[in-house]
Amino acid sequence: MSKKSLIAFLVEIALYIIAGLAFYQGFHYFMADVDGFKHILKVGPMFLSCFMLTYLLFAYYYLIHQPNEEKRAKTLKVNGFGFMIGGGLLLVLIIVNIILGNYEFGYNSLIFPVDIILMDVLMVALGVLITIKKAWILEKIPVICREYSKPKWVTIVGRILGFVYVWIAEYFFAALLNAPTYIDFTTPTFGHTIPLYVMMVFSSLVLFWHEFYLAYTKEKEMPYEALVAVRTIMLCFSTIIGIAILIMDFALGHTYYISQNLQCILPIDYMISKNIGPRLLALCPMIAMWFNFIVSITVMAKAKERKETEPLS
Amino acid sequence: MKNKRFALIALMPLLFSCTRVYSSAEHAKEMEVSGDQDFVVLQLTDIHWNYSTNIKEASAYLSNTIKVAKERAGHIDLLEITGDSLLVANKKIATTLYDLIDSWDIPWAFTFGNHDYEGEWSMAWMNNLVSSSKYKNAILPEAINKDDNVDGFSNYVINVKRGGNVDWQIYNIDTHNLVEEAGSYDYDFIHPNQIAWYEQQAELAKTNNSGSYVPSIAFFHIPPTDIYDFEKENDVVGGIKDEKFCPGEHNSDFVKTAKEKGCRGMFFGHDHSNDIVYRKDNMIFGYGVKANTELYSTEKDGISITGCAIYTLHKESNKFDLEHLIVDYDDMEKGPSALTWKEVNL
Repeated sequence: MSKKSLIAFLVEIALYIIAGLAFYQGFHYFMADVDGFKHILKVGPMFLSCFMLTYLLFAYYYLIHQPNEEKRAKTLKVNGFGFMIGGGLLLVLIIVNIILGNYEFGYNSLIFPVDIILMDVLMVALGVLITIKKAWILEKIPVICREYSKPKWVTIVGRILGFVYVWIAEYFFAALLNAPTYIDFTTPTFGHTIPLYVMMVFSSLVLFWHEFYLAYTKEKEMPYEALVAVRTIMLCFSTIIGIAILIMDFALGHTYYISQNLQCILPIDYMISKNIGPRLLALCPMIAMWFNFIVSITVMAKAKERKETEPLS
Repeated sequence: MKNKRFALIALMPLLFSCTRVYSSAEHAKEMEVSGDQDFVVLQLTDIHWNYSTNIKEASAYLSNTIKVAKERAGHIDLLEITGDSLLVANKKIATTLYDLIDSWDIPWAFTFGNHDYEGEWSMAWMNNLVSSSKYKNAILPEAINKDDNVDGFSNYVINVKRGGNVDWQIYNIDTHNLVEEAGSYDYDFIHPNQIAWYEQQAELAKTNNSGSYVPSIAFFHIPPTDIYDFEKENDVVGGIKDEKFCPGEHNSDFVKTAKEKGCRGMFFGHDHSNDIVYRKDNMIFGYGVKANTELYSTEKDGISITGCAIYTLHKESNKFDLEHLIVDYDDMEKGPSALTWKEVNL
């Protein structure tokens, strides 16, 4: 792996973790007002500022995985405007809230609302930088992309699945990083939660592996057979772990294991009275792996036969 | 699923039938009343502070409600916080709320609600907070952090004593949180071992009261399913019903048992748009008043149904007065609104 690819990979992981932590916080702000959005003027800029970092993560992802130079330049330009406009609007709304006395210093976080102001300032600054230094950025940020040809629908479905998966995985990874605030080893049902903590790590590790694999194979030109083998191993691994979690949740899950331990990280479950969080955690890597595997052995196999190995846009 | 549920209910008495003696000291607190004054309890419920709460404004409303109630009742002997004090929030917001409650200089007791563990803290942290020695006015049980075989944390009785005798008993019962069953969550209920504990406390008080049960009232968060029986009776003391009842999923024998042992009233929160109170067989049974507009609330004639409930326990009697003090959230300076109601000698 080249130094550039390695740096691009590490930046992506760092961004994933930071965006995840912001997303986790933003999601809690969102859930605090979800019943009717009575305080949307106050809470809206709070959660949207946090979600902007996930937007930055997705923008970065598409920049490093876009082989078509023209589309790459367009992606950068559009997102640069997005950062500027989004960050700028949110900054205005935050200032309005401060003037109205809606934001009280230090309650929602140690430095609130300075933290959300900093996030939006960062977005505006990035947008400005992209606008004035577009060519330099395009040169410096490498393209990490080596894939067999895929039809458009596979790309679209893959992207939708990817979005959903990243949101879930980054949320739970950040929830794990936040565990010191809510973990309680003394509850009688703590042991039942351990598989879920494992899954919180695993769902992100699968993403890290995927990105590392792409960065690594950029130069290595992994043969098709090796690709299928790697994906088969990951498929089996994620299926076994996913099924184990589902069995644990359905059959062995204690009546109180969520409510005594994980209530703060599953606000949607509590809102709709359905236990969906653990199932999403178990199913997401499985679905992603099955999708990748099926695409590998069908669509990509056909592409290989046609010897279409050039990267697709 | 239904069979599984029935099996669970059927097994419960068996599971909890191994009776044990609960330490009285861990679950009982005493308050001495002097003079001829009645004992006044103020109930605040479903405060629900969260990330979207304007702390300054919400604090002002709660403090104003306490001030208005004090003026109205003359004095307040005990503040009862009946759960869901918080929602999606952090430790700073939780601490700020309990600091505020303690700053009113009124002895306060509480029960947990189903949302009290939804913030970014653990159960142990929340229990440590509310039982912290920094709260000089808190009347809290030593049992809160102990594995005492009584399910829940906020189960305790306050014995209101007058001249050495227990005049009234005020029970705080933990209605827990949610029960997960086959992928769904149901509201929890008062468990058999809590009822056994309650019986023991009531019997103990009876022994020390020349063989008569001491009159009592009970506070908790989630209404029992008995609410439907009370509704059928259609004897409304006061208040409104503006949403469907959301009681615990399983029926428990608590209401029946408590009625037999001198309990005169049961009051709870949970359903924000209901403050209706019923009467049946000498038992007064109903909702408190949501303490503010957080999460959701209801209004009538443009006035928010928010404020507090005041219970005046008559001395050396098993009668009490009940007042729902409604203070409009958007016009709190006006004091009690026209929707305030009071019933005496219940």
